[in-house]
Amino acid sequence: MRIALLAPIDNSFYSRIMSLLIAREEGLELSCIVVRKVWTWRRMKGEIQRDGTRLLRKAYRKLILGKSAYSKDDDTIVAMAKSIGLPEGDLYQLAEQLNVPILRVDDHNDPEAEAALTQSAPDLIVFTGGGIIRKNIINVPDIGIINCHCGILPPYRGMDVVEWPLLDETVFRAYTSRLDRPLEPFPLGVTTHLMDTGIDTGPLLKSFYLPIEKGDTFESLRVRIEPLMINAVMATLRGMRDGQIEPKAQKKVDGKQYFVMHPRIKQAARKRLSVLEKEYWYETKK
Amino acid sequence: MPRLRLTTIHEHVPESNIGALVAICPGHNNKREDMLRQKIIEPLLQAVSPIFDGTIEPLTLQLYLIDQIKRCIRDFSLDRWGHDAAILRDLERAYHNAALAGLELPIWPLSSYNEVPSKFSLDEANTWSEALPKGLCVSRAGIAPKTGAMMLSLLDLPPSETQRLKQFNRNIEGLMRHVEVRRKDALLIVRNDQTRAEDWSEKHAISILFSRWSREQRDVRFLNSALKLNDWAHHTHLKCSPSRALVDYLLALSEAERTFVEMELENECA
Repeated sequence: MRIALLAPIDNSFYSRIMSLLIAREEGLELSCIVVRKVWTWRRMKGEIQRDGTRLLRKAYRKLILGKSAYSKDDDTIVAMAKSIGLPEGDLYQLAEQLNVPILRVDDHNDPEAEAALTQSAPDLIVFTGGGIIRKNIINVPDIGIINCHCGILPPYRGMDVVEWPLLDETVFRAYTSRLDRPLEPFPLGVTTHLMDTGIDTGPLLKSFYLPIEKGDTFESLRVRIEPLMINAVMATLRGMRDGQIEPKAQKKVDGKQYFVMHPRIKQAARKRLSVLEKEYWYETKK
Repeated sequence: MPRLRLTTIHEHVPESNIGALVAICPGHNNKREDMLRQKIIEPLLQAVSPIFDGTIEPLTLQLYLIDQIKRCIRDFSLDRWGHDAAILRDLERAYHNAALAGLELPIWPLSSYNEVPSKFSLDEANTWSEALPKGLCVSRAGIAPKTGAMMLSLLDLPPSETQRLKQFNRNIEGLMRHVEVRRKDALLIVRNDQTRAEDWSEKHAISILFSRWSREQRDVRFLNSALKLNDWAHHTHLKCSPSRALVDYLLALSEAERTFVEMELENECA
């Protein structure tokens, strides 16, 4: 199975780990990597308008702190990189070591990206970040573009979906109730799906839940979700290679689209997590 | 099958693109890095947050709401505005909401204006919604005139009006998406012949609509958008003398405060 990879920037841990794991996996062939330039004026303007201070925090964390933003725990993406022997350096150096063609573009939807991807004739494209993907790119691979969404689909589409389930009144009440607690895990985790032109509305592949642990905060959950995303994409690729995972269409009405959380709402979600983390964790450990 | 032959771009990019800063924060346990983070970066990010996001501290908004309600009541008591029953009704509603949200206010000193009818009747709102192109109040160009006020009237649609309710749901979701995507550039009115103050009233009506719908549907996403709209409008009304637009803003703020409390999102009141 031929796989192409779309990367947001050249030093993305997620993209580098994914590239290495795909290249090493039997039955998968990494055919091409397309990476965006770190900055373009148009993109920066759009992202500042959309994300505001979040973008500054992201830039500070990813571009300035890099590896040092992570703790030395075993469940971080850095520990994962170490355990699989990810070589130092950026995606260009890794591509050279893996002998995989790599192309740098302003935007993933650019005609040169489309031409390069078409030429590499992938069965699947793995999306590891880099903005909205348009129809011209979505139509390139035979099967589709796999995205790992940072939340459970179909109910939680869009942004900040690690936090939003806490503010779903019915869900929160059910999981903090001492009676009739749902058997399935709290809707927190990641979902692999094929991309379409909507926001997280494409055919579903598989959901992977992240258990809430004692003392968890949104920051600790987000740190643990990163390696889960990599494992989820790899498990999905293996499943698709072996014919065990089939895309399932999702209905629009099965979910809602969520947007960036206002700080005041986020504070409320934090308070609810501190309740859930105590109530729910103890119960699930019994 | 065609094989790809691309030039491999190789440029040495260090682990971090800002080498100078990395040099002073090289390891996670480094005390200098922690200090840099806690004493400089975090306060800096906090300080620039209002510039980038336009967010206002909840306490600032609550104190503003209390002060401005008191000021408007005083002005009305002195009959400085003349007697506009619709404005007084909305001021009374703002007062009532703020009190329900637990904000400390003096006793309402004026007569009650609750019975004053809304700006548009349900019939007028239905006629407006039937005239919308493709039944949608939001387009790429912006929103249809009177969207806020008409959609507020449509909140009273009876459950039996399933088709109209479907259209209302589609429109309110579309409005929320429009506000979240366009942010401060949202809610431009198509074919606008309104004054600037009326434009602001329109925006406040949409914030009020979001808060009420959020409360009714127990859906925090709409309150999330209402809070953002209120934050972005704050600087406009900061030095504003009492006016229709100010009362609309006070009503929008109070609706959001009330929704926050009624949805048990743990408020900290002024």
